[in-house]
Amino acid sequence: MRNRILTVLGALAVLGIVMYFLGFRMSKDDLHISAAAEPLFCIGGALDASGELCESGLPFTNSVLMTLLVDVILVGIAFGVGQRLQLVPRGFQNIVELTIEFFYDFARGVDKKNVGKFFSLAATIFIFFLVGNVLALVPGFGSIGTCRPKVEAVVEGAAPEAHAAESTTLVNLAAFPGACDHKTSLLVPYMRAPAADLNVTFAIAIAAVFMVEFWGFQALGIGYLRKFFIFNEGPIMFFVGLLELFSEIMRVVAFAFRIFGNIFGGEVVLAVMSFLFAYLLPLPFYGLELFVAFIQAVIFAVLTVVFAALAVQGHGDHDDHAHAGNEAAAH
Amino acid sequence: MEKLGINWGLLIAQLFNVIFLVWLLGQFLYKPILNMLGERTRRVQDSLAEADQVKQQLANAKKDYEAELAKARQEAAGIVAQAQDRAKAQEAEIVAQARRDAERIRDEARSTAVQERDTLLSDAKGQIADLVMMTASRVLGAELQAKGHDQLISESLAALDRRN
Amino acid sequence: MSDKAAQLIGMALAIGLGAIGPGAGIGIIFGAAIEAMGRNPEAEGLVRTYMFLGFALTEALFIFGLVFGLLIGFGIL
Repeated sequence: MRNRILTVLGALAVLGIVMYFLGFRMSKDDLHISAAAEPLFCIGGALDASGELCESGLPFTNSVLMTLLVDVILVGIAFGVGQRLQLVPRGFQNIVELTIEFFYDFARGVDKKNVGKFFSLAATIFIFFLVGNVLALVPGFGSIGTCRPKVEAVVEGAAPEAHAAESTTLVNLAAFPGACDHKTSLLVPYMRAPAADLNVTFAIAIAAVFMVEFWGFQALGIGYLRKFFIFNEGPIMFFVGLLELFSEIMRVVAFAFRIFGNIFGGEVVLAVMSFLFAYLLPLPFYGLELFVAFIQAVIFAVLTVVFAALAVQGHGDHDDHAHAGNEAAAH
Repeated sequence: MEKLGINWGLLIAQLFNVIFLVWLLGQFLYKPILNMLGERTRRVQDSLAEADQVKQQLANAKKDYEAELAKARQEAAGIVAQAQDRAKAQEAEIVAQARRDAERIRDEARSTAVQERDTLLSDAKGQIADLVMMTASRVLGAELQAKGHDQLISESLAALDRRN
Repeated sequence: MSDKAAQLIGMALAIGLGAIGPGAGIGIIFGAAIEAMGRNPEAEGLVRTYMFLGFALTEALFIFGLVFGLLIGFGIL
C-alpha cells in the first residue's frame, strides 16, 4: 500500500516535470491576486474601464454569488435534513448532527448556562464559514470565470515582450478552447470564498459584536457600562476600563481581519505555490488550508461565544470566572 | 477602502444575509436537531431504565418463583408428615383393634371353653353320679339292700353338687 | 527608491515584523493551555475559554500589523 502510494507520487512528479517543461505552467501574468472581490456585473450600473470596479450601482461580486450558493446549501440542509429528522440517523443526517453537536458541546464547554442564547448566532457563523471556506478549496472555484479585456495591457509596453518570451515553449496555453489569455485579458472567477471578502467578514463581525454588547446590556442592564467606566478603583483601573472599551470596539476589526487574512492569505499561498510548480507542490498546502478553513471557522464562532459569556457576567461577581476574565481582558 | 473591496451597499446586504441565516437556521435546523438529540438522549436513558426495570422484574419473578417452590416443598413435606402421622395413628388403631379383637376372641374362646367344660362337667357329673350309683348299687346291692342308703346317696350327690 | 517600492517594503515589514511577537505569544498560550489541561483535565472547559480569549487578544496585535500592512500596501494610508 505504502509502496503503491510512493509509486503514484513519483509518477506524478515525473509527469509534472515533463508537463512543466512542455509549457503547462503559470506565468507571472496568470498570478492575478485581488484583495477585493471582483464584480461580475453591476446592479443598476456599469463596470468602469478597468473592469475591476463598478462605476455606479451595486456591484454583484463573485463572493456575493458564493454567499448565495452557501445560503442555498444551508437552507437546503435546513429544509432537507432539519425538517425530516429521523430518530435513527442515516446518511447525511449523521454529518449534519455531528457538526452541530460538535459545536454545541464546544459552546457548552465555554458557558453552560447561556449556551441556548448564544448558540444560534455562533453556530451559524461556524457553519457558514465552514461550508464557504471548504467549498472555496474545491478545484474550479476561483479558477473558472469570465474573461474581461485588460485595459492596462495595451498601455504597458512590457507586455508584448513577455508575450514573445513565452511563445518559445512548446505549448501555448492561451490557445486552448475556453482558456483566458492573461496577457490581454483578466480572469474574473465566478466564485470566491466569502471569508476572503471583507464585506462578508465585516458584516458578520459587526453582527457578532453587536449581539455580544446587546447580550451584555440585556443581562446587566445599564450596569454593563461599569465594565468600561471604572471611577471608584483608582486611575489605573479607569484607564484599564477605557482600554477595554477600545478593545471591545477593535474586536470588529480583529474578527473581520483575522478570518480574512487567514483565508485570503491561504488562497494567495496556494496561487503562489501553483505558480512556482503546479504539480504536487500545492498538495501539502492544500491540507494546511483545509485545516485552516476549519479552524478559522471554529475560532470565529468560539470567540463569539467566549466574548458573549464574558459580557453577560457581572463585574461585581466575585466568582473567579468573571474576575479572571476581566483580568485577562485587561492585559 | 475601494482597493480592499469594502462597499457599504454590499456590507449592509451581507448583514441582512447574516440576520436571515441566523433566524432561518436557528428556527429550522438547530432547534429540531437539538430537540432530536435531547429526545434521543431521553430515549436511551428510558430504555436503559426500562432494561434495569425488566432485570429487576426478572429477579423479582425468580425470587417469587423460588419462594413459591420453597413453599410448595414445605407444603409437600407437611402433607407427607401429616400422612405419616395419620398412617401411624391408623396403624396404632388397627393394632389396637386387632388386639381388642384378639382379646375378644380369646375371651369368647375362654368363655366358650368354660361353658363347655361346665356342660361337660355337669354331664360328666350326672354320668359319674349314675356310674357311681350304678357301681355302688352293684357293689353294695347285695349287702345293704338299700337300707338307709338313700341318705348317703343324697349326701354324696349334694357333695358333688357343692364341689361343682 | 520609488514610492511604490517603499510602499511594498513597508507592507512586507508591517506584516512580517508584526507576525513575530504574536507568533511566539500564540505558541506560548496554546502550549500553556495544553499543559494546564493535561495537569487538570476537569478544568478543560474553563482553560479553553481563557485560551481562546488570550489567543484573540494576542492575535489582535498581528491583525493590527496586517491591517496596517494592507492599508500601506494598497496606498490608502
